[in-house]
Order: sequence, then C-alpha cells, then structure tokens
Amino acid sequence: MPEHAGPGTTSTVVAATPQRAVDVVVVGAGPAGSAAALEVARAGHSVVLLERGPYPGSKNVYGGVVYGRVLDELVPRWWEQMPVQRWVTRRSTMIMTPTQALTVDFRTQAWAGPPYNGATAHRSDLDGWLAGLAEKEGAVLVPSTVATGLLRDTAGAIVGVRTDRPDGDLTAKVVIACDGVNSFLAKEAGMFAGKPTGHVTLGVKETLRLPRSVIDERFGVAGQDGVDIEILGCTRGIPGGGFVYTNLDSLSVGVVVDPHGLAGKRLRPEELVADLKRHPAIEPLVRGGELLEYSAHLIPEGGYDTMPELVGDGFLVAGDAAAMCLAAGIWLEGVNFALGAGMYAGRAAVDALKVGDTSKTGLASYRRMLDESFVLADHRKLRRVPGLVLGQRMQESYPAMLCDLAQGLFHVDNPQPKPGLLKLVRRTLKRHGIRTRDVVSDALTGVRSFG
Amino acid sequence: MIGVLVVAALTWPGPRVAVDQLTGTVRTEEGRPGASAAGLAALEHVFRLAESLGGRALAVTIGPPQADEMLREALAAGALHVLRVEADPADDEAAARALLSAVAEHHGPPDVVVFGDDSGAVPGYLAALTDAAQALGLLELTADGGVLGGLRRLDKGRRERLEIPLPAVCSVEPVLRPRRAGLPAMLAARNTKIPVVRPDVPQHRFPSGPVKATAPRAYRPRARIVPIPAADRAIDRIVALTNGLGANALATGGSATVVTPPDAAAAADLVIEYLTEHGYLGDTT
Repeated sequence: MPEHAGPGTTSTVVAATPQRAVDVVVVGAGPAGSAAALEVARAGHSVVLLERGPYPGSKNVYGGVVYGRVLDELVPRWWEQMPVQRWVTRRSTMIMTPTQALTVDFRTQAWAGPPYNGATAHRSDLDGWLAGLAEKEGAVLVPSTVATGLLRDTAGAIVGVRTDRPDGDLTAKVVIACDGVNSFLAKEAGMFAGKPTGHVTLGVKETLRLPRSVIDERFGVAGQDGVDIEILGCTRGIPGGGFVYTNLDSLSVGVVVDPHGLAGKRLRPEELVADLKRHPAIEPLVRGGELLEYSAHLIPEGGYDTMPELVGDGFLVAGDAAAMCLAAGIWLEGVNFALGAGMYAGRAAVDALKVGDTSKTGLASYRRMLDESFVLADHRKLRRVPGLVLGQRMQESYPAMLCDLAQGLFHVDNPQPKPGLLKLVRRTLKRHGIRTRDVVSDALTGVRSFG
Repeated sequence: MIGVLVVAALTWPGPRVAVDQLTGTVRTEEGRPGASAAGLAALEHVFRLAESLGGRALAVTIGPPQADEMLREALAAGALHVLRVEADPADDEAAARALLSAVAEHHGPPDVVVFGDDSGAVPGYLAALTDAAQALGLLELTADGGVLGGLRRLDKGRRERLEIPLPAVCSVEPVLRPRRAGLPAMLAARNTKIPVVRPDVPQHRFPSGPVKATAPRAYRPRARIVPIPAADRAIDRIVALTNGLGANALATGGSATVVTPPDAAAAADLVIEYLTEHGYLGDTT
C-alpha cells in the first residue's frame, strides 16, 4: 500500500531515561495542535509546539467556514477575539451543469450576532491566534521545525520526536501528532496499518481581491455578514465539488476533487477552477477579482472508516492527521473537528500525566472522549455519506436531472399546457437514463446515512 | 566591551503598498514576519566574520514587537546579543541614525555592519554618519588579518575584489543560506526578553533632499533653422519641409515622424503599420 508507506524511515531507538525534556510535544501548530497545547499548558505541564512553517497557518489551507462552537469549551466568548473575516449568515447549496444552476439559499440574521454559528477566516490569522493562546498559557512554539521521525524506547513506546534541527531530538512523555493529512508520524507509528488507502481529495483555491462594497452588493450582505456557497456538479464529472465564500475584501473560489479522477481525465485542477469562475452563475460574482493567492492541499475526506488508530504508547493522533475531516454532502467541516480532537487529546495527555501512566492504557481516555463527543459521533453516523456523495449519480446524473427538472418546471411552453409534475419527473429521469429504483435506493441510503 | 563588534542589521518586512486594480485605491498590507533572504544572508556573514575576527555578533532590527520572533531566531542561531529599535523605518536617514545610536549606546561603536541588499539607502547613510568604508551588493564577504575582503558583480559577468578597511558598512546579496539553529538553542531563545531601544535621534543633518520636480508644462522644442529645400514648386518645398523633422531627416529623404499614441497598444499598432508600409514585415493580414 504505497500511500501508507510513510516517509521511508523507521523510528530511532533511544536509551530513554524516565526523565524527559518536556511533558508533551505537539507536532503541528494548526487548530488541533494549538488546542492540544493550550489544554496541556493550562494544566501546568511543559509543552513544546513544533511547527514546520515559519509561522502557524503558513502551510494551511481550508475551503469554507470555521464553526467555532466547540471553542466555547476552550476560550470563553471566543467570538470577541477570534480573527474573523465575516460571519456567515447566508448559506447556499448550488447544483449546476455547464449552463444551468439551481440554488437552495438560506439566510438568517440569528447567525449575525453572539454566539454566532460559522465564520470565514484567514488561516494565518486564525492559526496564529490559536497558537498565541497556547503560548500565553506557557506553551513553547518552535516554528520552522519539522518533526522528521519518532523516538522510541527499547520496549517500542514512543518517547519523543527527532526534528530537522541540529541536536534536534526532543524527548517527551506524550507525543501528540497533529501534523496534518498524510501524517508521517502516524504512519511511522503504525497507526494506519490495515486501513484503506486512496481516501484523500485535492482542494485548490484562488483568493480574489474585490472591494468590500462590491462584495456586499454582489452577495447581498452588509457589515461583517458573509456568504458560503457549496457547489455540486462543477467538476466535469470528477468526484468532488466547488465552493465560493466571502472574506472581508476578497473572495475564495475553488474546487475539491478526487485526484485519481483528475489524473484519469488528464486535467489540471486550475482548469476546473477556471471553469467554475466562467460559469454564468459564478462569473458575475467573481468578475474583476484580482488574484491574490493560489493554494492547494490534500484533504482527508474518507471519513470514519479510513481513520487510523488514535492512541498508542505515549502517542496520540488528532485533526487531519487522524482523517477527521467531515465531507458529508451538506456538511463540510474540518477545523471544528480538529479543534475538538486536539482539545480532547490535550486533556487525555493531562489525565495520563496526572496518574503517571502515558502508555496506551493511560491515554485511553482520548478515544472515550472522542466517542462521547461530536468528533467521532458525527463521523460514525455519517460514515456512508462520502461514498454516496462521491458516486457517479450524485456527481453527474442528479445535478443535470435536477437542473432540467427545474427548467421544465419554470419553462412556459405555450400554447402547450403545463405538464404535470409526475410526468415531468418521469420524462427527466428517462432523458438522463436514471432508473427509478436507483433514485429510491440512493434516497434510502441517504436517509440511513443522514439519520 | 571587548573584541570587534559585528552587527547584522536585519530589515523587518514592514507594510507593503498595493494598488487596487479596479478602483486605484492605494492600501498598505502587513508583510509576513521574518527576515528576508538577504537579511538572513547578512546574519550568516556576520556569524562568520565574528568567528574570523574573534568578535561579538549582534543582530539588530528596526521593527514592531512582532519582529522579536526574528531576533529570537537570530539569537538561537548564534548571535551573542540582539536589539530591537523602535524608529521610523520609512525614513532611511533617520533609520541609520537610530540604528547607530542604539547600537553605540548599548554595545559601543560597531566595527562592521552588514545589511541585506534590500535595505534601501540605510547602509549609505550609516557609512556617511560613521565615516566608515562602504561596500554594497557583495556576493562574498570574508575577513583576513583584520581586513575585510569582498566580491562584487560587475557588468558582463565580471567580478571585482575589494579590500575593505574597518570600520565598514556592507550589504550582501542573498546568496548564502543561513545556518540552522539547534533545537536546544531554539527552545532556550523562546522565552528570551528582547531588549528594546527608542533612541532619541537628532533631526536630519544632510542638506540634500529628494529630487524636486518643477511644474509640468507643454513640450515646446526650440525652433531650428533648416535650409530651404531645393524644389521648383512651393508645394514641393512645403512637403519636403513638413515630412521631415530636421535637417538630417530632410537630407536623407525625411522619414522621421513624431507620434503621440494614447497608449502602448496604439504605439505598437503604429510601429507595425510603419514597418509594414515600408516593406519590413510583408503582408501581416
């Protein structure tokens, strides 16, 4: 399984003494890592937060909305200090073909004030803020430092990390791997053994500058209100979807696609973004935008069944490293799961340190806390959804069928009388070669999956 | 204070100016934290010089509190001292004065100051203020027997070698990768308090100012006397006079033309049209 082959290194065995340099090493200063470091530091333990980029957030990409509710447990009245671009008050789901678009648009001003719901943010600001909270509590952030491998004792327990700096070994009682998708540390620790491969998608995004007033006008919002549009049917049949969301004075537009599908069609991801920007439903929104940034990142969208083992001897895995990104059709979330998992990992490490047992048994409360929280409950409940939404019918046939159905419904074809709805549905299904039994089957799967 | 003082003057990437293409609005944006590649090269040169000269390495920057991070990394990489100066980074002369004042007050007069080559006119002002030798845009900077040696690019791929006496102000190109700080040093530097100086520097001393522009006016070339064209008919003489712009043009048949196209695209069209008309491009349709 080459995708789980890891970095090609084996852990370094050290003659570790019971004395460690620090209590906890957290690898990766993203939302999961900073939340973990914050919890550990608050409990009064020494914690080092390693970040491979020059500053937190410099290597991160996300494609939508940060749902901050889980922060209630970490940062009281977080909304007063979190670096937010816009609070999302308008959430649209758009289904499109190359010439059509059908949108379900919802907006509520209930999300425009405390305690809010979701927000758009720049990751460099958000991650920097979270890491800053951990630093204020005593965590030591070390940027531009890559954890290149694990240190183990002679019994195989993980006792620290090796970094790419001179004299770069750092021993710790607990290592929390929050090193993102394709986690080399989790692979090296053997946490992915026996897990299915091929579960990542590729997200690509352009950030386009537009004056704030133009964004307000085009998206029908004011003040710090914002819009998030999730799109299905914009990827030339490659499993995936698209998105457009508003920042304060810029827009982010992009697609998330299966890299194997992309390779199969010999397409480059930026071609899909260009397609999306040219679409008649999107072009008026992004017109004249000045390209500020192009970014790309892998996303662990495989869901519950592709998650690695989460607990080892002296070792925890959280966030994208643990495939905790939820891609369940109408719910596309990642940062909140990372925050939750990091927070619970930090608490589990503190529990283990308190009783002096950082073995797999001593750290087992992590799995229990995740099971009892939304982090694993949501993933478990929605475990079948990724397969459903990434299927051919959901990606190609249904968007075209629904757009044609809407067009048939609203098209006035006088002197012909209006067709009956059932007749219209049957005719549209037939035109798209969709069997009724498939629709019923998918509907049942959807009902079962979404609960 | 003992030994030669070698200073790395790191430029803090302050706000950058951006122009909105739609509205023409000018705005400033915060730069990303961290030293530039040229600044890091300067730091590495300073470490090597300090080792060669048996001196002390100091890293200094003019910047906000966010610049502390950059100085901590310099400290971890091997700087003996660091110093953050709070001054106006937009005024090069004031910046040079502030740097000099802060360094002199805390560590004594510097023997060598090395900048990255993205430091504007600050090195020049500093050299003038201290009456130091000045060698800017260096590819190499070494020390041998108390004298610095530099290598600098010249045109056509040539190089020149410089002998630079002390005290000296130098700037270097970003051709040297900085050394990597060890993890224990990084951890130790994380909680180091960075000393901050707000020097009280006198007003500008140099009499020169920026280039001054006079009020714009229409282009009115001076009248020139040209010989009367040799033609029998008046109209031919007028044509001969008006087709050319000067005596040379008239003498060679008069093909020079002054055009004032509104933009670059129109200018390109005119050039192509001219070349086509005179048979240089053939039929381009």
